[in-house]
Amino acid sequence: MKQADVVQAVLDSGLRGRGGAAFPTGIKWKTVLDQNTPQKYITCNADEGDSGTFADRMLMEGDPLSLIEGMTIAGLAVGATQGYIYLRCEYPHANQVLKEAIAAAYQARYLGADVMGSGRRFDLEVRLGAGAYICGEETSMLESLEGKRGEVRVRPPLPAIKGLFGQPTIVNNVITFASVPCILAKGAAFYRDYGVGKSRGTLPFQLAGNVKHGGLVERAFGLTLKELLYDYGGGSATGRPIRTVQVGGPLGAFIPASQFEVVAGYEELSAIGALLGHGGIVAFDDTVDMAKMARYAMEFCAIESCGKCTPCRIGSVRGVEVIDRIMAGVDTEHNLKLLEDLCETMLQGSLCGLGGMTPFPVTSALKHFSEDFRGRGARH
Amino acid sequence: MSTIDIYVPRDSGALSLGAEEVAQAISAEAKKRNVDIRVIRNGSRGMYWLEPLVEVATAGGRVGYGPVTVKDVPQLFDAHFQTGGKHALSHGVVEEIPFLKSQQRLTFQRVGVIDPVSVQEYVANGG
Amino acid sequence: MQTLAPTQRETVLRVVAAHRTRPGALIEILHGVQAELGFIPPAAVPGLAQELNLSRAEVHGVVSFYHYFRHSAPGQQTLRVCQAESCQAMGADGLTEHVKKTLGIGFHETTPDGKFSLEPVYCLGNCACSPAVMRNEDVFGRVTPERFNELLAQWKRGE
Repeated sequence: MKQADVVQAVLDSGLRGRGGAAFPTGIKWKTVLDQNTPQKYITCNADEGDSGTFADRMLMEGDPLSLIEGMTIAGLAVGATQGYIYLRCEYPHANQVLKEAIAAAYQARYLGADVMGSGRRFDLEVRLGAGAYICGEETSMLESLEGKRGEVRVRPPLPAIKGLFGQPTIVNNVITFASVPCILAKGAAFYRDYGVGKSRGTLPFQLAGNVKHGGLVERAFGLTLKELLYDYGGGSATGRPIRTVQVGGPLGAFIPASQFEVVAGYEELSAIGALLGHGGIVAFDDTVDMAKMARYAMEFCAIESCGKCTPCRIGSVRGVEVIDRIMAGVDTEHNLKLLEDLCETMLQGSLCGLGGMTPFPVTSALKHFSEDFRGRGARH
Repeated sequence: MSTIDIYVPRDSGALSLGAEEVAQAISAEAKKRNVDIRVIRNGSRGMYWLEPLVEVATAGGRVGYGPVTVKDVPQLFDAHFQTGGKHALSHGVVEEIPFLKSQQRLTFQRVGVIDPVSVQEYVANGG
Repeated sequence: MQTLAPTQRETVLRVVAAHRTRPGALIEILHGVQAELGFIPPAAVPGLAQELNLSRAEVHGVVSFYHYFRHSAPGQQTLRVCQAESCQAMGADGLTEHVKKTLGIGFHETTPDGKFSLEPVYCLGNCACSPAVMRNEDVFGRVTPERFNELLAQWKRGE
């Protein structure tokens, strides 16, 4: 297949980045194809750090060759000869399986100097992360691949134009790459015809936390949260009512039970102020303390902040302090207002999604579960 | 009688629930009883309340038993699980289980099915 | 400042040499060093900087940025208890308190007998089997306080 045709197929399939940003994959690939430089890179973001997500891990441990094939196709399609899989170091088994699979692929000439007799080269290796959640952000990941602190870069320029070591680079998620062989084998239309609205194809939803039947559910977009939680999930593991779910990882909003009829798609969840992200769904029963969860959101941001911008680095620390005072019942109304102001600052002033989206779980907890924030101290 | 393929996942979720010990116990017990099996370490089907999910290849499809612990292994052999025999932990043919059957596994079509590092199996299963 | 023991120095040089041709390999090198020595000796930083043509500040900056890298030797076994949301939904808080009380230490500490170090970790990808605990490179799921006690007994016996 000609390079431009491969890229067109990916465009036509409607495949959107499965890491969480949902950016049309074909556009990214086309941008890199159009760059006229001798060295380009294919990088896979396998730093699956969102709680409630394990689809990447399962795929890498269960069918790594589909990821390898997807990355190789990308390399041949845009003219890149080197690929890196940036794997979180919390996944030692995936590291082992990938190592074995890459070795098998080299043996079978799917990788190396002459990929499947095409005369084109593609090399692939795994690089480990080192316990930094922010390295799931694409520019932070590139900094880490360059052996530096994972600080977020200002964009523009986009990685597709100036990425790894300053060269045009594709950064895509594991599932995104692993979906490509199917698209090319069965055709773009086949993939595109699954789904609803702008959310084409399938998503591997992950049911986690307090759910009876935890696991992986790959379905075309169109299912509701309710169907996922009850028809598939079987309700809570403890048997108590599911009070809330957090979708999309630590930066996702907490969705109350009253909104479980929402369709689990990118635009549909956005419309209710929530986030689909990588498709991880964490269920909590009615013993959950939502003020504690809001505090954790701020605390996590403080621990994982790369430190570059003040709203994130300092705002998160202040956020923990303010919530501590609320949980102790000190000056509640004043501190609630302060918390909202703080969230607004972080939302507007942060360089990347970590500081910018930490307010989402916090404000959703305040909005839907305000009863957990008031009347404390007396019963604390 | 030909070698029976028995699948025990090497997925880290399954390992976290004791799959490694189960795989070893099955190999050891088969040797003891002179049963000719080959243990294949696949990925997980993604039904974690059933892990470790042990699958046996039979003429009628892959029959699944789970969640299996080391203590269950001798009884599984007693019940002839290696030919799909009845046992309390049996869930019938894995691909018929509603949780799995109702899915549309385009990207995950081979996860839990094949040996993850076998190029042969990848190609034979639509790779 | 402490100096590197000769064997430590030899390890560092060997790891650097193994990765020399790989672009941007500092983190891979640090992983290699920690895998053998258990930590990144502060005394190794100047040598690393020199070998890789970086400043000491840059190397130190990388070591201190990433939560996985340690400046001091760990216990014989490192236990990590997941603190993230999915594990919290299934009782990670209670489990963490139990672990700390049982071992008698807090996060980032090592038991006096040198057997166990305790660290927090944020997601092991085992979210359908929460709560999760890691011991060295092995993951354990559905860890209740009772199960932790059983596992701890095994770990103490060296299993």
